[in-house]
Amino acid sequence: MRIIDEALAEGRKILSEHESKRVLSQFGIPVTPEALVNNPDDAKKAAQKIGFPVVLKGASPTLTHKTELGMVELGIKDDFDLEGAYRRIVSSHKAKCEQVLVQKMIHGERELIVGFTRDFQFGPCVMFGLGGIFAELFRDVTFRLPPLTEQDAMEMMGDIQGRKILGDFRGRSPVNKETLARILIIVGNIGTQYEVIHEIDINPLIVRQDGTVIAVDALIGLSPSASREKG
Amino acid sequence: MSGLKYIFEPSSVTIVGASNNPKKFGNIILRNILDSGFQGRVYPVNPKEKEILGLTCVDSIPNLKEAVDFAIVVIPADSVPKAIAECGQKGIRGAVIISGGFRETGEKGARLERSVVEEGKRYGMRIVGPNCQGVNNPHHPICASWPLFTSKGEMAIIAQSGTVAIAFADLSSLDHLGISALVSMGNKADVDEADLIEYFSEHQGTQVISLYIEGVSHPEKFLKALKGCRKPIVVLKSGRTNQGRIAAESHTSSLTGNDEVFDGILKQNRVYRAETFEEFYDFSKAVAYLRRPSGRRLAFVTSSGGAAVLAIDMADKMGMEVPAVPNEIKDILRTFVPQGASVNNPVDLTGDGDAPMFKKVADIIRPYFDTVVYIFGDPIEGSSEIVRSDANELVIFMGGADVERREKALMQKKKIPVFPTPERGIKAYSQLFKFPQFKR
Repeated sequence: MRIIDEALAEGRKILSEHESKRVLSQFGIPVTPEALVNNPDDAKKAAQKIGFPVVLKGASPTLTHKTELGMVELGIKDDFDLEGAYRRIVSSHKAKCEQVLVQKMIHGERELIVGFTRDFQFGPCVMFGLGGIFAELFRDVTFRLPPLTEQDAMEMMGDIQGRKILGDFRGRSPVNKETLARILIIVGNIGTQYEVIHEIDINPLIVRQDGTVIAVDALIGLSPSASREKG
Repeated sequence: MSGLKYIFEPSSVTIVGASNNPKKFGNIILRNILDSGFQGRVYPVNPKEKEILGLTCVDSIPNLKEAVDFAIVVIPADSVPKAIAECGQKGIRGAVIISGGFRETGEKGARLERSVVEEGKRYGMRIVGPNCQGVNNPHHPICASWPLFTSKGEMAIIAQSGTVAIAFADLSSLDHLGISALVSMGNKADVDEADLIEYFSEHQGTQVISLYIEGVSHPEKFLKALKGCRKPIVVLKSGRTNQGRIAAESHTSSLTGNDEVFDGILKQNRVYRAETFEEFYDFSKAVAYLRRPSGRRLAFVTSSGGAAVLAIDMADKMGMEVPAVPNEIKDILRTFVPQGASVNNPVDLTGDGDAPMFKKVADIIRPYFDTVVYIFGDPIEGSSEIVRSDANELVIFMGGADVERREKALMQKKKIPVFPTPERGIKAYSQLFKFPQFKR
């Protein structure tokens, strides 16, 4: 895959958020509409195309922990807000970024995590659990080995302690379990197919009020020593 | 005949390192082989003895009269590689190495262990151990282990710890349920949990495979064995915490692995998981001896209100249902239960309840529920005559002292498992519903 090959050629071990989501999107995982820009005018154009409200995130191939570095501006409603937010990000003293990611602001209180890792004994595994701040508060995750069947994926959803969040929680629509199952299956397949992918971390995968899910932040880790693709 | 069959169903055995000293394993194991009722030929090997326990001693492995099926090796670690090579040359295809002093002791021991494995491979010999407490198959019978257990049952206990295996067999013997086999795997230099799952999946006497491990030897082979297994498996795996992992690594040099991943693998492959030794035994007993009813609706018939409440709390926690007794049935029950008895669910017969009354209630309410749970909370004489192995019943017995012990023994001899507390009984029973399909 081109995005991965380029990152490897540059000697990188992780894909940026934007690159990671482009990879996931190519496999049919729903991701936030977004664009990478390097000046305020392009940011405005992108925001208009995506539709306010938007989020701005400082972007650089090596930048992680953006929130802690003050590189994330949420809930931008118009051009005026956007200009100020843009300025604050590019002038941040905590980290440098060459570009800014303009992203659709996604509303949803329910945050999930979907991941892929390589266990030192059992190899590829798919993870599912509570995401966002919950992922830091409680470790509520479950694993299965790919390839996952639809039943495996459904059982993962029933396996976490916080499974009620997937139902009609506090008057919200229940999560679209078929889509969520498909995402879990796909993540397992990507990891199995591309040996060079060391890990995938989709966190948060937000459940919107209507029950649809969308990847809001994602990271793909690479292991350059592994062969590119399984034959 | 597969390699493991030589170990579990031999027609002739040799014990290398047999001894006349009753304190030595070379004597204890030989005695247990004889006392377990082994029907085949037995050859003790010891260059310094003429006769041991009435059997003529052979001075060396090459001088054995025949290529026996199974060799039990109880000599110091340094001499084991040579003994295994001699067994191989002789044509012996199965061995268990009891002796310690291998990988668990450091680099020198690890080298010895590697040469043992090499010699075994060279001659196509399968080896259990080293550093283990042997094997026992009461159905064959042969007890090449200690202490002696002869009680025949349906649970195969396979453990990476001799003590865990023995303690399990001890409980099941006290319960008159017995075991279908016992394997202490020790260092798993050759035969590991995957080989044994494959073997016991096809083993006639076995209804459940109970496996205690600290770590998995060969992940891919293990997954294949789980996928192919036709019998239910209950796993107790230690080394789940950081401290536990360190302890496991020094006990058997096992890599314990990521417990969250392991847990997912067990669920994906429909393997029951116990968190404690007590659950390990209880779950095995439930899965081996109970059938899964069509639903989760439980009817409680008890002589103890307190024990029933404890049971119902656990039933609720485990996702079981405790619906009310239909009104028209309540009216029927009221005509014969003692004064002060309750005819709701639980049907509480109070201390005046006796065995015939338990039976009468059970027969009336049975059609309205999926399972009848008896809680004998007093010395209920004759309770063993009313419980059935052909109906969906769960039996809990407590507070019955000598009568309980007598009745419980009679029930379990009929293969009706009895649980000692309401919580343990319900928790074990609810395992039957853990997966959409129930193997067996």
